[in-house]
Amino acid sequence: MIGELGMAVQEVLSAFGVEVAHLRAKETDFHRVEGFLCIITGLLERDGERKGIMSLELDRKAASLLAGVMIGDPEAFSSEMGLSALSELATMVCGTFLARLDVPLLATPPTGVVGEGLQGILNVMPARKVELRLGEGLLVAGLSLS
Amino acid sequence: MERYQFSEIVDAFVDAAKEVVTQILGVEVVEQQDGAGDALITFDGVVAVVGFSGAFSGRLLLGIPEPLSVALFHALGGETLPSPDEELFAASEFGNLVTGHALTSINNRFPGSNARPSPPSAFLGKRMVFFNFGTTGSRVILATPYGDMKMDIAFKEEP
Repeated sequence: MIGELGMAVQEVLSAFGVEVAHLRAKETDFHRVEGFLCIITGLLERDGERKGIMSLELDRKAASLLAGVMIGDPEAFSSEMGLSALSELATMVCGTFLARLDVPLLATPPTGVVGEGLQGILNVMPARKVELRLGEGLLVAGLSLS
Repeated sequence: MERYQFSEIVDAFVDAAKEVVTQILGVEVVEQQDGAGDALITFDGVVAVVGFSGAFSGRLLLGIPEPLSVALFHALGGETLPSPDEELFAASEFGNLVTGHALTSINNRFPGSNARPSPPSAFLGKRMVFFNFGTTGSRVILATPYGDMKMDIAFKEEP
């Protein structure tokens, strides 16, 4: 499924004219936060027991690049308008990702958090992640699903 | 929101938090104040986040003061001062318990709502700004002998 998530991110970014040059996959023991801005969406199987977390994690440069593309102000990524735009991006990625799957999943509304020195465990399940280079910035899409 | 009364859902989460803290720590919890939630919410310390989905979807944020976080860690089996990861695990478990209690109550009150929790998450940091858009929110402060716990509930009814 992580491949579908990576493709969903690429597809949504492409709609904003942002082409991703490089993709790298990795696995982690827990689903941890990387970066200073993170948006998480809970996933629940519609008629089953599977559940999980999808995350988009951005460093400052990636958040700035996307704020510039989406609202025309790279400096406004931590303003309410900037965070709203990034939250919408997460909703679009989630919708595109879920449409690619055979398993019917429900999604919770996205919740975001931004902060310096942020630590977090998003799920105790192992996670698979794809790293996408956005200019000099880094966007990491993660998925942990039972 | 007519079918699912906003206040009843908020009350279910408040009652669940009070009940879980009292069960785990044996202390009284007092609801001090409440108000409308904002799109941006700032927290210090440990924060548990648990989403839920069904006929309505949303998420619970629990801002847990450090003394309460340590007390919960010890009550859940920890013996020393918790490491950051141990605090995060304890907060996740606490958030999961509160959400589970609340959703059981809501599903009993509104048969067919079938609201279920997503896996719990937890964060640790200073001046963390959480954000949700497109949801209706409510904030409640719950006073405990270990400090004030901040609860923020946001949700929307699914079409």
